[in-house]
Amino acid sequence: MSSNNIKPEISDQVAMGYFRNAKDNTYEFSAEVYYKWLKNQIDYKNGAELIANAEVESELLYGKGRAYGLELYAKKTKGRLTGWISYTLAKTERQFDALNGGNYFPAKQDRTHDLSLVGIYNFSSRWTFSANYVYSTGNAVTYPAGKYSTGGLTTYYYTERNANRMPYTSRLDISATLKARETKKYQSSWSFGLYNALNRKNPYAITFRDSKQDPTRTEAVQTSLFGIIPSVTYNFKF
Amino acid sequence: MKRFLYISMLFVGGLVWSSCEKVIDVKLDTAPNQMVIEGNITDQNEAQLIKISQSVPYTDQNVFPAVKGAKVIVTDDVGHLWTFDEREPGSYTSAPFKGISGRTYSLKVDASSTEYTASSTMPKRVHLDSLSLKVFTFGGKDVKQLQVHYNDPAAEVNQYRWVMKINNVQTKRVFVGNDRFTNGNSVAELLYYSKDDDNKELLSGDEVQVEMQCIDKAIYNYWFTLSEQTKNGPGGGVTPGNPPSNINHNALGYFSAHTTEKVSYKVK
Repeated sequence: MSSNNIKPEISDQVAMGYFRNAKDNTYEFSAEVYYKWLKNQIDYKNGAELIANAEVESELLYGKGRAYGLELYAKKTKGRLTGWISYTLAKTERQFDALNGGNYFPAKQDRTHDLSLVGIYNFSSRWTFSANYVYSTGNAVTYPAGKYSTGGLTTYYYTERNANRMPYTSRLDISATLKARETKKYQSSWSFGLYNALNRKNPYAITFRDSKQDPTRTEAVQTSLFGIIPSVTYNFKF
Repeated sequence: MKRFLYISMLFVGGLVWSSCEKVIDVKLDTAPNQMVIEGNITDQNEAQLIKISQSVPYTDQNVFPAVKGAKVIVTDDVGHLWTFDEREPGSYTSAPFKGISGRTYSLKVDASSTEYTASSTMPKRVHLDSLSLKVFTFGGKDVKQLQVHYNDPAAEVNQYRWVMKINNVQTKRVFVGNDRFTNGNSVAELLYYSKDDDNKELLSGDEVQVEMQCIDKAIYNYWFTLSEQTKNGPGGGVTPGNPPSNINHNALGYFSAHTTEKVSYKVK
């Protein structure tokens, strides 16, 4: 939100793309490149005091950003097997005079690679199978580059902002849908699904701490949230 | 007109709510060792201590090399000068003297052919009245926490830091406070402490010692920033950075002139 102190965030974008359909629009392809200039970006000062602070605007920094990338997309729209694949190669960076020595650093949500695949297969008039796969580069985070002792505590030393990466995220979801018998007034179906079918432990957060077994050492700990989750859904329309 | 109602029900067959933690290997950058200066001037008539060490790569052991052979002096704003001698490797001490509230102390360290300087003003002392126990019932279990009681003076801006030791072991939490919301009040400050930090909760019979320091604004910012940065990830905390040191030439650490008062408490 803009105010007397905060200018509105502005961006300019240019994009160039090539789009092509084939075989009577059964296949759609596209490729696109873009570049975006971001102005009046906002971030917090180091050590910003935010709780119940009426002058939050005094705790902000203003800078700029840039985002650019390549997007590829292919889709099959007809036939028993439909679905699409999309891939993005991208970079998003921000720059603030008071952060990271004034150098550009990756935005936290910067994803170098982002791949998604969706497939739907009409097996018969009653059974439909579908699968969904996503892969993305981990968030840009700041890991310690060293450690030292201050005030009786082991403290971490940081160099460049957001220069490290969390592990990648990868997830496969599959489902099967069975249409139940229908009447004029009543339609229903059953869906059976598996969320995160490969049961991959995707990273939610990475923390650093003194090792509990050996207090003279430090260790990195990854927290993950959801493993494999089966589900059954019953849908009905009347 | 036909109206369609679409209702869907979701039965989660077996919700595997499995938040889990595991120790992982991460690739870390290795920065060259940095100069770390920890300087304290207290209002007690004692040998004041300046410690100089170095940071180590993250994957090394928690052994921080001492910086030997530095020249350390402290001056105040009324012309006194104290020379600090290296009694132990990396630990520089002065002849006993007492810091005085309102005076500004300046540190000068000559080490590795760099002259590091910093200054800090000793605030007025605020008396630590007492400690008390606060018991929370959490999930049918009593959780014991310690409170600090003091009267914040209305006339000035005050910043505090507390150092808590349980059975002579310092806790891993940084406790800081200021009087932004409590100016002039009689304050009961909860030193919230959890088992996650030290693998130990407060139990009956524990001997707790709390040191209350009155610190200046720059030192408050230092400890406050340090207390903020814990976790890395979408759910946790801020993007970490080095706390703003009041020492120049990118040295890590701090130079703090503060008052100090220690009170002990035996947990019932």
